[in-house]
Amino acid sequence: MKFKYYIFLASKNLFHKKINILNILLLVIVITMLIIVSSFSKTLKNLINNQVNGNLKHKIILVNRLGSEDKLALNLENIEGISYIANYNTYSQYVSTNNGEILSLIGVPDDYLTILNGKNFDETDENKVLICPANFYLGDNPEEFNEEFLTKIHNGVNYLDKFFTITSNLYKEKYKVIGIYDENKYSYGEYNVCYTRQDNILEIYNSNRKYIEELCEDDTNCNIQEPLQMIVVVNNYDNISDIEKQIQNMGYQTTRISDVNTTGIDFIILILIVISVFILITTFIILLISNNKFIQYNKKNNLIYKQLGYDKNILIKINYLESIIITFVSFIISIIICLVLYITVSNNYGAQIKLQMPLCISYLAIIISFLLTLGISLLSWYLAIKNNNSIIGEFCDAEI
Amino acid sequence: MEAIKIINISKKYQLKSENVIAVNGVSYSFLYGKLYAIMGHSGSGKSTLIHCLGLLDKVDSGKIYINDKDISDFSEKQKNIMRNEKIGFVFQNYYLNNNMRAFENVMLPMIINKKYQHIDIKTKAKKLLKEMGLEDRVNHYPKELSGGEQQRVAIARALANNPNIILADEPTGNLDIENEIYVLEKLRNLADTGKCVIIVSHNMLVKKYADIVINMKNGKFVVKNHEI
Repeated sequence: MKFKYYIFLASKNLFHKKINILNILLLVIVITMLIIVSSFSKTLKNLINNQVNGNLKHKIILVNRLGSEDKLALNLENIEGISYIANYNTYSQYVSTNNGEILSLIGVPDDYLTILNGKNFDETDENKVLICPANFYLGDNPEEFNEEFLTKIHNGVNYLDKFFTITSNLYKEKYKVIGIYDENKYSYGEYNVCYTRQDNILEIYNSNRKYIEELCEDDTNCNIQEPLQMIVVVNNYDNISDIEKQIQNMGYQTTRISDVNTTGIDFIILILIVISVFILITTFIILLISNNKFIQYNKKNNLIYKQLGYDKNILIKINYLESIIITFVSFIISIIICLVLYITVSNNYGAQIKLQMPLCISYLAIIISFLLTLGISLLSWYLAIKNNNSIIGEFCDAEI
Repeated sequence: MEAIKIINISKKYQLKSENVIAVNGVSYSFLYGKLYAIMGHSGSGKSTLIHCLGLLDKVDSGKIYINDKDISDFSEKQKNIMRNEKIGFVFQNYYLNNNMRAFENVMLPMIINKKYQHIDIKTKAKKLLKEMGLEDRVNHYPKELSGGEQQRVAIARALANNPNIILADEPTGNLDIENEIYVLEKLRNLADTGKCVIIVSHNMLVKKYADIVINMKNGKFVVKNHEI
């Protein structure tokens, strides 16, 4: 029998059977809940990713050098998982711009970042360059997080190829924005963090140091010391404890500038997984009961096909195909519901969610939800068919 | 030529706690080109017999030959093919799929027939309905058709694969006189074209169209009060 006829036969009964309508309603609820629950898990995972792994702060170990002659950088060369090492004084500086924003400048090696737009450091010969975030918050002090502040988001792309005049005490230089990075991937847990070459940070540091030295010229209480600390940036938060241990084993004192406790989030994710499993098991039981009843009810109808010479296997295949179509239709309806929910939530709470928790309909969540629902749908059919000796009734029972 | 030959067939079934012998050691030969009317009261075993002849039910004992082939050794698959290609059924309750249009119901037997793999079965189904005088009803659902029209759709479906044997179980049971005559004339014409038509009925009008009338009583064929 041609496949198109399987589709034809399966689709003919689809919306005429009340039980199918009920199955579709049930599956729509299940798939929608699964997508929401698993998207929420994904969102939480993204949150961890953004807050932990994407946040440079959480990937930094401060290491105390044993003395000014200590070759710490060389000693750490053989440890795997370190992205880069920088002197504490060439790592970061707070500066202000001609527009009034406070920028946090961080010095990174030329090949450290992956950019969204524009050029990377290794693609230009210019020195005074910046790679800035996709979202800028202008005008106010970004440390003061409030509703008004959120409305002042500016697209970082608008700053591409524009100049900021960077000021720090006596230091004043024009910097060109050459690239835009995704702050979800590289954040410092602060707003308006721009990256620049490590040389520039050193230059700002030296200028500030000179300024402080001049201020201190006549002040005997001034005690300016070279920092003996180095910053070690690891490539992944998961490795940080291991790397820290290796550095400590070499005899160095280490400090973390931030520590994260994800137990609460892990617990929420566990609860969400338990809810998903519960939803699936409940649906499976309901489908099993309804399919079982349907097979008993439909035995008489299958006699129509039997007298026309239809094989039992064809009828079973049609039943399976019917449940695949039901799952697919339910899936489409669920996706539409999820999209409407997503658009509604985004329209009402978009800015906050984007900043705090990027609520997304995860593709993976959609695929997993679909496959799980299809799986339980087919399995319930399989068990219901197995439970009934035959899906076709006997003619003597059928009062023909 | 013999279309169906039955030798000493019996069929019992359980009715509550009682064993009922529906067909009791019947032997007979049904020939092509003849219309047979099997008459009898309710419970005489005529419907059970026609289900056994149409391979819808298994016999408990005895042999059934269709086109000289012993079907007792047939697998379920072979029986399905035989039913699909060689036998057409017409029932009192039409047994149409209510979710399909008239032409789609007629397409059903052709869908699984390998002979029609490369033929436009939709056109053929519509043509069959036209021959049954239903050209303006092809797109209607069974619920939108009268009883007579539904039975004509059922006959068109029974003829879709051009079978040589037509088994009709009370085909006029739900019809008015006008439609009764139409259906019986149609079945008569089929016998005249060389098909073997077996009608099970207690409608006396059927006798008028039959070549051979067989009475059935207590699961046995009776001719003039003698069991055969």
